[in-house]
Amino acid sequence: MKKEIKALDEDVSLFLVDALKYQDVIVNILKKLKQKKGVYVALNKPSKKLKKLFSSKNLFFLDAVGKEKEKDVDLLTPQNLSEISIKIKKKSKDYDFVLFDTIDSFLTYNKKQYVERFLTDIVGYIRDNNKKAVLIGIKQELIKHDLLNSVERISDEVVDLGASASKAFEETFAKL
Amino acid sequence: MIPSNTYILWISAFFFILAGAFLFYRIKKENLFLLYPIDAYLTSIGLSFFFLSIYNITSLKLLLFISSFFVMFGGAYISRLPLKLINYRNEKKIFYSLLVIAIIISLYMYYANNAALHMRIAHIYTFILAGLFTIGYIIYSGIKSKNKAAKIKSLGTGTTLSLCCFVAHGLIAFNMIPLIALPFAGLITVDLPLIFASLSAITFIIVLFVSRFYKT
Repeated sequence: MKKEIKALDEDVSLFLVDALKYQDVIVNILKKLKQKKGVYVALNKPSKKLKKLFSSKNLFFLDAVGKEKEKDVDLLTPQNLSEISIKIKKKSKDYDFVLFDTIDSFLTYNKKQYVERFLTDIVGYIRDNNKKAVLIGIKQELIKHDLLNSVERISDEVVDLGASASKAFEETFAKL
Repeated sequence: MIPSNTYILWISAFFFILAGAFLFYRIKKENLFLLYPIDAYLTSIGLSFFFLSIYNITSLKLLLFISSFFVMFGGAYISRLPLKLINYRNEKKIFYSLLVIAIIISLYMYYANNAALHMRIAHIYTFILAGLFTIGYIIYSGIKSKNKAAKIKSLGTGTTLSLCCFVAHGLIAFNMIPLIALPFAGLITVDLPLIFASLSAITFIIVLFVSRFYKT
């Protein structure tokens, strides 16, 4: 837990989590950041559902799953990384941090090299503007897609709360 | 006239390339990116057989060195599978180091003009990396796995590939090529490594085909 809190002091923190427990980790992170205003990039669950899980009064949602636009919710097309990049850059100016839930979900809609380039660009922008980026990633998915190394490279602190790599082995062979 | 064992090499090369192509199709279709190293190994061994067969026809020694280099390349590449899972941070560095070793050995042997020793070293190298390290890891992880489908498929993959990675490379590496005595023919060398390698590719294709019907 200490490492989690310490990681949030850094400009770019990466949390490697297990698919079954990632929601708890996000709730904990948002508890720590409750005094700050943030942009929540939702790629797994719609903002409507997320608002029930944690206090969202300081959050603005960029929602790639939901269908309803609200005052504090803007919709994203997950395949369109340029659009996502523009919206994050525009919104992050008025907020303290940007949280990505979860970076491996970009791989469902886009090729690895485009996701790699997008993350490097957006994290660089957030860093240059003295904001924080909180990257959440399912560890076994990042290993399977060979993205873990490059995401670790752009992060200042890595907190490994994920399942062991053997999970990636199991999932791959089970699908064969 | 084309020597008769050249046809056997072509058939073996064909099965390895076919196994590689079939696996590539499955990787692309099901996003099984972790299995690229196995695909690269199968293709490398297929190319190694192809160059060996062309050497049989042309007697151009360079082809023999290229063939042995492809064996080493396959061994180095397939070891990326366990490395990605055991030590993903240093996986690329280790792989490139192994590749540099393979290139240095191949170049040295080429200039020393010792194709027989090169072939032996190539098979020892690949026996260790592919046979002991990679297949050992796949079988060990398969035994340890609690997921029934993963267990069956990884053990099936490990066993079929071990015919080439472990048995065939091992037989050449440790010079265990048997001779049999046939009446009226005398002592005949049995090309066991080639037989095991071909069987490996064929059984691997069968495993890939059958495994599609066993869902989690």
